[in-house]
Amino acid sequence: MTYGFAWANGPLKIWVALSEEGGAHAEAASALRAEVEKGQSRPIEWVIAPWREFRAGVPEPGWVVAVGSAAQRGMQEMFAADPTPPPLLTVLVPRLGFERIAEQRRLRAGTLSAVYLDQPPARQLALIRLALPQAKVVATVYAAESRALIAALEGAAQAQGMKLQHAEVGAAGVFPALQSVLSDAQALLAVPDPAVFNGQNVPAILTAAYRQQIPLIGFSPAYTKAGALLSLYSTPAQSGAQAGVLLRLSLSAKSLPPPQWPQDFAISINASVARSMGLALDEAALAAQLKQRSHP
Amino acid sequence: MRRCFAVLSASTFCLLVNTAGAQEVSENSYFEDLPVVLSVTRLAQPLDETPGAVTIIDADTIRRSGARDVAELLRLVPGFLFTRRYGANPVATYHSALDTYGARVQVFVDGHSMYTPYFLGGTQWGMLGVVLEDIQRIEVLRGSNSAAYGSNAFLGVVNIITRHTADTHGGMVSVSAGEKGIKQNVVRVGGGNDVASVRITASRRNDDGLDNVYDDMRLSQLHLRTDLRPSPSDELRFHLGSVTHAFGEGAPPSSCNASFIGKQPGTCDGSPIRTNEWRRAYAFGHWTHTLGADESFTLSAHHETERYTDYSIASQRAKLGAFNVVATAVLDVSGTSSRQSIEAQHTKRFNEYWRVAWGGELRREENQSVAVYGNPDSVSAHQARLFANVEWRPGRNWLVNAGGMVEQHNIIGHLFAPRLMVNYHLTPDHTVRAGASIAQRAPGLLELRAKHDLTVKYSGIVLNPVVAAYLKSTGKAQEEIMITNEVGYLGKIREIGLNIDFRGFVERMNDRLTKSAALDFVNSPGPRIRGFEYQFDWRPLADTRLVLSEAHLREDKGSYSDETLETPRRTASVAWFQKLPLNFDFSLISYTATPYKWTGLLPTSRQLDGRVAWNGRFEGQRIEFALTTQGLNGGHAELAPEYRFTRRTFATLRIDF
Repeated sequence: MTYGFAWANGPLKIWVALSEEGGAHAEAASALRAEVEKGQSRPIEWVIAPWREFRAGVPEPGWVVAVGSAAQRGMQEMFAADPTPPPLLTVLVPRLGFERIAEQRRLRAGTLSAVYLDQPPARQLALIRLALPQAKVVATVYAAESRALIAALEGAAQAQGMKLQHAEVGAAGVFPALQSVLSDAQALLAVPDPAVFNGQNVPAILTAAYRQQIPLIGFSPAYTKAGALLSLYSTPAQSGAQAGVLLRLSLSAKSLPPPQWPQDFAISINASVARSMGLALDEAALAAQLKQRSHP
Repeated sequence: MRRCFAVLSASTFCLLVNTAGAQEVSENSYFEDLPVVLSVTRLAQPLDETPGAVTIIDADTIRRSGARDVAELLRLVPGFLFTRRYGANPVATYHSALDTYGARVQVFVDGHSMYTPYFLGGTQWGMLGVVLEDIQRIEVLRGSNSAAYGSNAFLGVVNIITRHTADTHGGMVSVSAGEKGIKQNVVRVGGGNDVASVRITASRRNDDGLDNVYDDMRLSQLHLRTDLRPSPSDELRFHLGSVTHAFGEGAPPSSCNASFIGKQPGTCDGSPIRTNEWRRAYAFGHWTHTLGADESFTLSAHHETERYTDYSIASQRAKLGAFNVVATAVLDVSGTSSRQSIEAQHTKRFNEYWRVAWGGELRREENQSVAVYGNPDSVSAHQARLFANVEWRPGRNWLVNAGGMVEQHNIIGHLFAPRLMVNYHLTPDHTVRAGASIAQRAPGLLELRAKHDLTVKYSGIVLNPVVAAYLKSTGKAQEEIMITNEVGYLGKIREIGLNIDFRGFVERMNDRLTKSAALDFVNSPGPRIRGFEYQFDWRPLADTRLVLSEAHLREDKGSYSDETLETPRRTASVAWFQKLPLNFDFSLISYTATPYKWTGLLPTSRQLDGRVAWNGRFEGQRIEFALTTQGLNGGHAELAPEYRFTRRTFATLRIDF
């Protein structure tokens, strides 16, 4: 027996399934909760826990939020057999990861959506244009997993009057691919491909790019700290809050809008690297300019 | 499916990665912790924080300049003078043509000093002994820098940094051919991963040199470099190589007054036409150990040997009555030299206000030449030096660098070279600088120990052989001293893409070493050079770069009246680098120097060079075809008025694969 959307009576039950306990996932969850509860008179029964602790059964929750890719997979599988599963909103998931496991049927039905973690390609390239006005060629390397990212990045680069020089990492490893794209480039864009941009490869990638005075553009504060010129990202709180707004607005509509790119973002600059490369960049000014471009 | 991604970890060359498991795209990439890679001590110092004026020539500029060696490139640096010693030995020096060996500048290749202990500590071969295609960038420190670089950094420092071997994987072939016997082939192969990489570069270069002088040159070199990263905090580098430079020298016999019994009209062959050869073999290693984000330690060791061959028989011929009289003397300055050094340096940044770099070096050099030193034993010198530099930031916009070097030389004793430099950032993009320094140049073994005699033998007449002294060093030569006061400005006007670099200076040289009438090397008051120089580096458009450099110089004489002629009143270079559609680009570079004296007083020289190139990619290979003309405007004199550099065109095909 399934209750589906029958929440007219009693408290609204929302599950928030976390890929991992604590950290960024918990931060996103609490931002989401705070946002949903804003101006919400109806009592809500929150269950916020690691996804493995949830058990299928009755009564089913009214809404499910999955924080992270593992939670998304877990929650999809839990309700896979259910013809009318509760709507599932995922947050803190990269677009590729989401699309790879998203059930098409549920996407079409409006019972599955996401607030992506990655920044829209247009925003990434607009930032490079703003920070490095002289840049004409932006390089990137990726593995087969992330092939789908490249077309969008290429288009975004073109729209900014730049060229994306890209190479897929093959059996020979990251290095030859990197060398093949760096020679003409004025910036190197990191993509969240775990086979290429991971803790083991990043030191070699950063030093190779720096030797050629090519700044790396990262996608998390850790990149900035490690030596990227700057990073563009949404904080877990920003993602959680956006998902919260989306969920609050959907409660009455009873279905979810299509997946969204993150709206709010942060930029962090490594001042030492910028100085060493002879660049004068200001986080606040850059963020303001980029916001203006995003919302003309 | 399992795939092998090479070079992922420091301990294994190949890490097997399960693409279906841990490598799945997820949010983990966004929240992964990363080690601090580019810590403050590993970053290059911004130019507006260096304790002195620095000009950087990058790989792109090198390639597009059409220059064939480092010395030629240095004409792009404000205040640098260039010539070719006897045509086949390109020499560059700063501000004043004090000698034709470039002995008063210091040249480094990858941190190792490239002077020749055999002749006065000359750097001309050091600059020749590196393949341009291997160079990542050249950092030129304009002005004395003994405090940081030791006693050869007298007028300036040329710091050549070759490309990391991880950046030269694959192969490269470059072939050039053209007028004036120009032929140049470079072959490079490299490979490895980010843990261990290696590169071998071989190059041959021939040309006929200048007009009106026998100066054909053949330069062969082979260089091997290896970079290792045995752990994330250790970097090791090894270099091994050899360079052979065979070059013409001498002039044809000419009519003269032979000087055996009275003056007799005859023929003199004082510097016979010959081919000299200089060979060098070297090995050096460099270890950097990172002790944390703010601390590092380096250790390096260097060994090299040289062999110089220059042997000829000079003669004078004349008719004395019915007799043909010939006087001959063997001219032999052949010999060998070797030098070794070991250096350690420790850098620590205590906090955002204080940073200290200090270290020490031991160096030994040895020359052997029966002809030059008058005995079959070798002569040697050794030096020990300690250096330190303290960088202090008393306020957000202030930077004070105080440093010094103490050197103990086994023949001449102690040297001390201090320096103080203050940088003040008017705004983040505009910096002024002022400072003073005292630099030293220790005399070389030739200046201290030479005992060079010529034995003249006669035929056609009964005369005993005569021994004529040529050099009689007594060992009393002391160090040369340069006292410099300077101001500088470095500005960036980002809106229009303009960088400005200005340096004003007074450089007073004390105790200049020159050869005396008694054939010894003696110290005497040296000249005073004052003036200013500047560079405008302007990128008005993304594809256009214009670089204007100019120096205005005056030299006041010290002990010799013609010292004022050693410095041109003005030198200037203008370079235009332009990228064109369809992957074409061109460059035009002009150099001018007003009259000054190397071995002879040269009239105003002007050289215009042009280069047109096309770049393309073909099945993963990069191809470049370039046509370069040096001396487009005709020709000019180099070294002496009769030595003419005239127009020459050559083509270069380069393939990177």
